[in-house]
Amino acid sequence: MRLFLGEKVHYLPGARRVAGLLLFGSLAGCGGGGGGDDVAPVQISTNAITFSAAGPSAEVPAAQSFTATFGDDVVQLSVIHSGDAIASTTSVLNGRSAQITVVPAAPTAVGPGAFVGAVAVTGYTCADTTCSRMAAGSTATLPVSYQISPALLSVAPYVEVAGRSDTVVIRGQGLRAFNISGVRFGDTAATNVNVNTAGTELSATHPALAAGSYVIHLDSTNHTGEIPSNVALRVVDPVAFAATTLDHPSAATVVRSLSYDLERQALIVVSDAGGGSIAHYRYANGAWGAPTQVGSGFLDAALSADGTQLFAITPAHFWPIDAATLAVGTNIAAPSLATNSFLKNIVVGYDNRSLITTSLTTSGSTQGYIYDPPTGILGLNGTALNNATPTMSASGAGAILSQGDSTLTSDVPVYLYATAANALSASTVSLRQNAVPPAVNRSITRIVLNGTKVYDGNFALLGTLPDTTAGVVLKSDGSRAYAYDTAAGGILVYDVSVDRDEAAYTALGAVTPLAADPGPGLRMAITPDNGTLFVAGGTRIVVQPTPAL
Amino acid sequence: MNSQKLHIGASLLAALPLASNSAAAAEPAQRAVQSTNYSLGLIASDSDTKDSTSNGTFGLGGSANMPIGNLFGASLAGSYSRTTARTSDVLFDVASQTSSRQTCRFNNADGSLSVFARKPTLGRISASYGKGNVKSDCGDESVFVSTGDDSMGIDYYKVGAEAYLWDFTFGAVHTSTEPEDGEKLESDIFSASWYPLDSLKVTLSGGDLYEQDTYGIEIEHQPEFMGNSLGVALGYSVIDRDQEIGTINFSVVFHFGTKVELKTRDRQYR
Repeated sequence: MRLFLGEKVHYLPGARRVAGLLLFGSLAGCGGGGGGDDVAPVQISTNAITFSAAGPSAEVPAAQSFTATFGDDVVQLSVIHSGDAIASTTSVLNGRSAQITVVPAAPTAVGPGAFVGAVAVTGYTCADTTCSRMAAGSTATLPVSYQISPALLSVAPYVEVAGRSDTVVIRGQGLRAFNISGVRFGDTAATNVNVNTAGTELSATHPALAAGSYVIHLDSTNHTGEIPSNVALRVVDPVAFAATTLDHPSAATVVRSLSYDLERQALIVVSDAGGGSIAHYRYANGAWGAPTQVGSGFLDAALSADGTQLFAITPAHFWPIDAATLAVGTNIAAPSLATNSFLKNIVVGYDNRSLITTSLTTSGSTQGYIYDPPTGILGLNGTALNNATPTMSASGAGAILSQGDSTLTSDVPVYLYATAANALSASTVSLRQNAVPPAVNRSITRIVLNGTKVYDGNFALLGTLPDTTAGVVLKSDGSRAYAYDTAAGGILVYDVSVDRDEAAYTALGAVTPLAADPGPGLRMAITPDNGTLFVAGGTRIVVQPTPAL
Repeated sequence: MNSQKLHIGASLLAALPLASNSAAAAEPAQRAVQSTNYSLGLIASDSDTKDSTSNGTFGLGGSANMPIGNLFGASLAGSYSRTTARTSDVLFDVASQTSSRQTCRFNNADGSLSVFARKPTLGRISASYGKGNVKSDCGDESVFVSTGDDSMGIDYYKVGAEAYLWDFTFGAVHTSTEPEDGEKLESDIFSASWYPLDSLKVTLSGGDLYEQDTYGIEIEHQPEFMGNSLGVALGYSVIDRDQEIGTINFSVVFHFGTKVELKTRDRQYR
C-alpha cells in the first residue's frame, strides 16, 4: 500500500508537496479566531422555580412563567422538561425571545412529596450549509422544585382522657414522603412515633395532657415550613359518675349494644325497646338527663371514628345518624344479602370503616360487610362467618369476633379483624360463642371469650373466669377484668395481667354489688378512664364506679 | 477571515493555468462525467456542543451523476436523516413513576439538483438547487423560530468551483440557504484536498458558516480490496463559537457500476 506520493509522481514532487502543505496550512488557518465567535447564548430570566401545595388535595398551584432570549443563529427552540413536578410547559415566541410557562402537576396526581424537575431550553442551529442537520447551540436549564405537603386526615381515638398518656393513630397521606422527625400535640412532643410502610398511618404516644384541644403537628427535617394541619386531639376531664340506675325509655328485654361517648359524656344503648331503638343518655351538670330515643328496628350502633355520627344497622340497611342530634340520615341497603339473613352487629375501626356482621335465623355462615364512608360504599367483605359478634378495641385498631352457637357440633374459629388492612383472619382459637360478647382491652393484649376464657394478644390461654360471668370488660391496660357475676350478684375483679397457666383466676377482694339488677340479656361497657362500669340489661342500666382493686 | 479568503482565492487563480497546461498535455480530453453512475450510502455523525446537548445523526443518502455532452454534467441527490439529541446532558434524570425525560428528535429529508461544467484536467464549476424539510419532535413546546411550528422547509442554492492541481483539489462553495419564512443564511466554505494515494483523500476545509467560523478535516478512502466500489470517510469539524460544536462524521458509500479509483471518481464521475 502506498502511503505517500508514488507511481503517478512525474515531476516536482518536492515543490508540490511543499505547496500543498502551505495551502493546507493557510486553509486550516481560516477557522482561526481563537476563542470562538460571539453568538448570544440562550438566557433565561430566572434561576429557579418553586411550587408548593398544602396537601395532596390542594388546588394546583398557579403556573409560573419566565422569559428565554436567544441569538440570531437559533433556528429551532426546544423546551423540554423532566420530573414529576412539571405537568407541561407552553411557550410563546416573540422575535428572539419566548415566554415559557411551566404548569405544575396536580397534587392529586403525584401525591405528597418533595419533587424536582427541570426545564431545558435549547436553541438549535443549522449544523451544515444546507441546514439539513441540527446541532444544539447553548442550553439554559431551569431547576424546578415542588413541595406537596403530607396531609393529616384524622386521629383516633379523637378524644382522650386528661391526665393519661396513651397511644393514638394519626391517619394521613404521604407520611413517608418527608422525614418525620417528631409529632407534637400542641406544643407537647409525642414519643414512640412510628410511621407505617405505606405512609398512611402514624402511631404516637402523647403524654398526660390537660383538658383542651391540641392541634397535631408533624415535624420534618426536609419539609420547608410547617406541615399544614387542622387535625386536633380533644382531651376531656374524666367524670366520676356516682352509682345509679337508668331506665329504658320503653320496655326492653335485651340490650344489643352499649357504648360510652366520651366527648359528649353520653351513654348509647341499643336495645329491643320499641322494636329496636337507640337510646341516648346524656350526663350534664352532675346528673343523667332523660334519654333520647330514636328509630325502630335498630339492631346495633357504633360511634364513628371522628365521633360525629352513629353508624347504625337495621336488618337490611346501614344508617348514618348524627351523634349529637340523633337525626337519621339516608340509609344504604345491604347488597346481595343472603336469603333469610340480616345485619347483626357493627363496629368501627380507627379508619372510620365499619365492619358489619350478619346472621341467619338458623345457624349458618354468611358474608359480612365493610362500609367505607368516603365512598359511601357498603360492600361484602368476602368472609363468611356464623352469626359473628365483634368487639372493637378502644383504639380502633382491631376487633375480636366470636361466632357459632351451642347447637353446632364442633367449635368454629374466633376471628381477628385488623383495621389497618381491613381484613379478617382466623385465630388459633375455636369455640362456640355464648351470650357474652368478646372483651378486649385498648391495645389488644388481653381478650376474654365467652366471658370465661382469658387470652393474651396472641390467643394463648392464660386462665379462666367463672362460668357464672354474664358480662365482662377489661381495663384499658389489660391488667384487670371486671365481670358481672350473676351468682355473686355484682362485679368481681380479676388480675388478668398474670398468666394462670390456664387455671381459674381468683377474684380480687369481695364482690361489688350493683345498685340494682340489670336484668337479662346484658352488655357491659367501661369508660376510657376506667373509672366507671355500665351494666345494661333488659330491665335497666346500672352505673357503677369501678372497684378500686 | 476575509483576508484569508482573498489569499486562497488568489492562490486558486494563480494555480489554475499551471494545472491546465501541465495536465492537458499529459492526458487526452475527457467528458465532464465519464458515464452515468449511482451511489448509495449510510451517513452517521455525532455532534457535541460545549455545555449543552450532544446529538447523533444517522441517515441514508444517494446520488445519481450523468453526463450532459462532453463539458457538462448533472447530479441528483437525496437524503434522509434523523438526529436525536441526548437530553440527558441537560435534563437531570429524575426517578419517576408518572413522567419521563422528554427527548428531542429531528427528521430531515432533502433533495438537490446540480449542474456543472468540468474539464477533468482543469476543474469544475457548479450550481445547485436543493429543497429540504426538517421536522422536530421535542416535547410539548418546541418550534422552529421562523415558522412557529414543528416543521421548516428549506431552499438552498449553491455555486461552487473546484480546481484540480496535480494531487490536490481546491474548492470553494457559496451556499445561500433560505429557511421557510426565515432570514437567508449565507455560508462560504473553502476546501483543499490532497490525494496521497489515488484511493485516499485528505480534505481540510474552513469557512464561514452563517457568520461563524468553521473548519474541519476529513479522510476518505476507497480500498482496492473492495473493488473500488466502496468508499469510507471519517471526518471531524468544528463550528468555532462560544458554545463550540464539534462533529465527527462517518460515512460508507457504495458506488454502483463504476469501479474507478477515488481520485478518478472525484474528477470524472461525480
